[in-house]
Amino acid sequence: MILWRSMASSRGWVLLAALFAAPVAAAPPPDHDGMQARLAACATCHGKRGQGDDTKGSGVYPRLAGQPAAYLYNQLLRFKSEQRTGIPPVVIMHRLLESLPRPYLRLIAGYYRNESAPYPPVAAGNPAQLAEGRELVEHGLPGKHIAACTSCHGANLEGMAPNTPALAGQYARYLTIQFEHWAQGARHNALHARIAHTLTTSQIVAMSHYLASLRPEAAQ
Amino acid sequence: MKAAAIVAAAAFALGANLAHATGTPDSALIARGQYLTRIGDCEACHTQPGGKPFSGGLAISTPFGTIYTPNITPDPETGIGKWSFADFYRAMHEGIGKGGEYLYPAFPFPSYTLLSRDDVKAIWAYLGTLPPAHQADRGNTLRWPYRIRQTMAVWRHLYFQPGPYKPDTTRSAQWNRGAYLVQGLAHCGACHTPRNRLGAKSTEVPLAGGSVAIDGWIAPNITPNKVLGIGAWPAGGVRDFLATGRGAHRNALGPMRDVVQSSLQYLRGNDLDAMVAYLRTVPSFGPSRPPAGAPTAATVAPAPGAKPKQAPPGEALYRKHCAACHGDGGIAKHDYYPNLRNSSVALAPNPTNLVLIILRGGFQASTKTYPYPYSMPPFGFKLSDQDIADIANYIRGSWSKWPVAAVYPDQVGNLR
Repeated sequence: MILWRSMASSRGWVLLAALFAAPVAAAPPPDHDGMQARLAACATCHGKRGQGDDTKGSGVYPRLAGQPAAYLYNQLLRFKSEQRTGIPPVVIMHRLLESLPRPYLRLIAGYYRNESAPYPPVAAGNPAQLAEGRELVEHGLPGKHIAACTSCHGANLEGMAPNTPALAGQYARYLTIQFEHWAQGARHNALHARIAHTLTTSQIVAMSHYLASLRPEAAQ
Repeated sequence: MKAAAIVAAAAFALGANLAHATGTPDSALIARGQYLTRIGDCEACHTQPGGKPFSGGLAISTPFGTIYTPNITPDPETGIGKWSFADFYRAMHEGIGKGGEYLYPAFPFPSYTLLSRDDVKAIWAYLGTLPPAHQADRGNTLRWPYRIRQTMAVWRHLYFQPGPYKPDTTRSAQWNRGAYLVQGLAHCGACHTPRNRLGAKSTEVPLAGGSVAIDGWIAPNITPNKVLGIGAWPAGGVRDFLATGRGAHRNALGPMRDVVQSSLQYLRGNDLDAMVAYLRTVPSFGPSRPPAGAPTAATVAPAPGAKPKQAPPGEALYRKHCAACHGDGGIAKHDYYPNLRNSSVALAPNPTNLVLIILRGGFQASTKTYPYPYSMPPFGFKLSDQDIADIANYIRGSWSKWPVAAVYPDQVGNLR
């Protein structure tokens, strides 16, 4: 129930699903090299193929490649309109996107949706931490009405079109930071804000590390 | 068919919304009004981020405090739905509001005063077709004494020259049209002409470069000076730049990118030609020969105590971060990236825009011609103040004989 209410209240969720089927498919075919050259500003953090930045093990900048197009588009719009705001990297996103019209944002979302950059090798983790993370990801915390990640993000955390991102293989540090953003109101999503406020930091870190250690089936 | 449908829709909207129409507005007048409204770029200032078009609320920070733009949709309570054409004309022509109050020149009435009554009428007809948006105006937060509107009486006495535009009969019709657009409707001087301490535009050095930062950016010199202005731009370069924001030595970023995108890209060919013809004739502003003595980017570039033949510190950084697009010698590898050699951005006396571009990066304008623009990465969070100053000095000092002032790390820090 809680889960459903939160989803229904998230902005434009259902509408976006309806909108997206057509516009992305109808966008002009992205000329691959042309888009890569166009998006130099994105590549500086997210990599030329949207693989994200793990060069120094920072993992602050998310992997975009293969994410559902509507999810990417929705986030681009939120950066553009300052619904995601207040934190320095997010300010950079706003500055970069503020002038871009929606058709271009759709094209950018479609471009990264179709990218299939390789994943970095899985880092050796702490087995106890990964086990704790796995338990939370697969079962949630039923006593506290926290649903399993798998109930929305896909059985293999591969994401669900149109608007639910893949978590498998996303950078641990990035995932942990997102919960901080939800807790602080820099990112708006009632369900995830509640998770951020309910779980302990070590539980969130454990979940993040477990999710980062997964690879979507196709990439295995 | 499509055009007919739009006209029908416009007529319907008029019937529903046009509280202020005088006489029967016709579709040609409204279409002309839409064009003029775009060239005046009214929507850009009269719309806040995420707000309904023309419903106002954008904060304009001035040295005198913050001014919030008003709602100019035909909403009767919060917009200009109860205004008459005479009220509107007085605001545009004299800078006086419906209640007789003096308007602040953040509203560029000192430029709009040059508009012909017919053009104001067309703009009025178009604004009347907008969907009314119920959005109350926000009060300005100006400092004393500027918050007292009567202070504007003094200002007006000193600086306001009422129009309309008087053609210079010694010049061509094209030149006069260009002057009308540049000085009047497009109000280029609002940003590109230096202002005095009371915010009045200079009459001596029009378009010699702005003195008020907008979101940090400084509007450059657009006089025909060959180094600092647009005098050395190739034939057609200025025209292309206005229409697309792209040029061989400069890409519009920051506020100018937005102006191209929301306004100038819609200029008709003959109006573009007219503006360029006029801009070519305004008095050139800039030193005609190099100033002597001051430290320059070229002389400052080597670190203290460095061996004379050592490469300047910015060179390695430039090769690593910049050369892939802008080329080793400052000649770009593709025509969609600007050359840095002899770029008026790079060589500007005030390095603010060059530093901001390196710090913030950004996308070029998205226009009809280039809907999916290229981009420059932001380097602000990857490079130190010293690195960015070194790169800027390398760009400024390496390829031109023209000595330009050095960039220091604390300047970079202040612009972050």
